[in-house]
Amino acid sequence: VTSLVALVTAYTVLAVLYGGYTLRLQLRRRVLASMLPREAPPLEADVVEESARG
Amino acid sequence: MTRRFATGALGPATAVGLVVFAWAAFVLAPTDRAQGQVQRIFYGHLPSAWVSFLAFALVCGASIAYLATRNERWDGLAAACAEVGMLFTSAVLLTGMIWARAVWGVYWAWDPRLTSFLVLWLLYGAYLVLRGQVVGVERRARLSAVMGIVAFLDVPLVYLSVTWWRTMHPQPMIVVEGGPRMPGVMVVALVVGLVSFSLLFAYLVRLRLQVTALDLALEEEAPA
Repeated sequence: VTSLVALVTAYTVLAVLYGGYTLRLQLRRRVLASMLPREAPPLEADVVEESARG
Repeated sequence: MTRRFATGALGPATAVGLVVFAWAAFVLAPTDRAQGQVQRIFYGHLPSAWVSFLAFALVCGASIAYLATRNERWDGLAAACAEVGMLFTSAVLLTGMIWARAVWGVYWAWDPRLTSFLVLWLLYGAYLVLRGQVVGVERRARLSAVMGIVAFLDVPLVYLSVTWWRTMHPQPMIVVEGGPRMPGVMVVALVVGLVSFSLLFAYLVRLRLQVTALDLALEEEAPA
């Protein structure tokens, strides 16, 4: 039983460390990306004109 | 196009790799006769150690490249690899302590392998503290590069500590004369661990570099 508890504890530690760090980076990337000013999306009329030309 | 596909596939490949790893470590690999279930820690412990060595080798390589070229991208790569490498080094220490408690009866022993590995963790911890404290982009990059090269000297010491000194830590079992000293199916589980943890490392470094790039972009956008 001690052996099994140690095994489960070790892999829980790995999951928390790697999973936690991954989530932290992904959240930070999303927050930073949302803070960057976005370029205005093309107007619908522009898109229609482009497709008519193409 | 190929590069974008390769980086886009990295996340799914890592996820698949980790699922296969879990299957290999818990199902495919047989239970060790001497140690029992706790020996399965090995499949996560050794690949984490391998990745930390790989990370610090990259820190050293990127630091040399920075000093040679003064290109800030190398400094960014060194910083990302050091941070992710510290994560894997911490995982090695923690899983090693849990395994040691179950097998040796103690969490820690001042053994050459354990001590040299703790020194490695402290060195790269100091490297990250240095990065956080030095003011000035060029000065920080230069000092960090020197520290990144010097700290790497501990890696061969850690690797060779089990052959140079008497130690409680197991001797090398894979890269030895006459081939691996364990059943083939255990070697397969270990190789799966090495590949999947290496993929995880690459994924995390890429994510860390993206965060750095966004940080820089925001700094440029901010009004002076």
